[in-house]
Amino acid sequence: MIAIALAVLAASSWGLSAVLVRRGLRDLSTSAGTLISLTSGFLFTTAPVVALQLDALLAVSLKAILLFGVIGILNFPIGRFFNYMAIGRLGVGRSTPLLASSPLCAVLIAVFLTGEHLTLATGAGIALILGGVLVTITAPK
Amino acid sequence: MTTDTSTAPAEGSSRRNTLTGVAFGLAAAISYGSAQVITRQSLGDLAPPLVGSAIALFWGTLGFALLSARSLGGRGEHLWRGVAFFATGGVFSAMGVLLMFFALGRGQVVVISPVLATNPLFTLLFAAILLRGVERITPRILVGALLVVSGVTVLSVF
Repeated sequence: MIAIALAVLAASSWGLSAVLVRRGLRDLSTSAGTLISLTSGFLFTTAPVVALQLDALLAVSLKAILLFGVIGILNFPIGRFFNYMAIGRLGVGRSTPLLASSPLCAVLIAVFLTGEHLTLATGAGIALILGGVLVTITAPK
Repeated sequence: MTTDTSTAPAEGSSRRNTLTGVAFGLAAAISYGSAQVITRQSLGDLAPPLVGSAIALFWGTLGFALLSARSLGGRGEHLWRGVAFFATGGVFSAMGVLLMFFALGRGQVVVISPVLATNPLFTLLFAAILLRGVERITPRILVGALLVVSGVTVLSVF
């Protein structure tokens, strides 16, 4: 039960974050806003790591640092910046379902590049996501 | 028969805006999806998730600062208000990641993942409350979000 409550709080935190960004875009450019949100997020994440997991942080291998670097670059300068650009152009309502379709991209990449199998359930999930994206982006502004 | 040509450029601009917005949204989804694949395929037990997040955020922040240093700038009179919104947005985004790790540490992935996938519905709820007068959340947008959430839930459970 606690786990589900934590997951609900996580989902609502992301939801609130997107809405705050939409408000912020009225006063600040996407680039500046992305940098500010990344900096505040980095400070917020690093504080508990330094306090609780400093040993683990200092023991991280060079390979892990480089791999997390690739993930960081994909997620943040690229992913978050484009995410905010989409919010600025489409609004938060129409961009959110598009961005939420990232697991679909993960599945397609996994199927085509790493040879994972496409099951009937996966196909149904893909169809639902594509339908949702289509319904959303064709909605009048 | 007359044609109102004054609205044509506005419509064209709006359509272009929508198309570029969709392109940006898809590019973001592809970036996030690629990162998910790399995380699943190669990280394993290289570092605790929270430590990994901090390192990824460090690289992301550094990389973006280097890339965007010349294009930073304000767009309105209320620059500090924008800073406050983005800074708080960044904190909530990071808080979501921390809470996700705590949730996954205490519950099963098949239970937690679908709950996490509902985040677009929370976005719409908060948008309806906090962006009243700025953005209209229509039933059609809600239906689209529900379909996407259902699809992501199916992908995460099966």
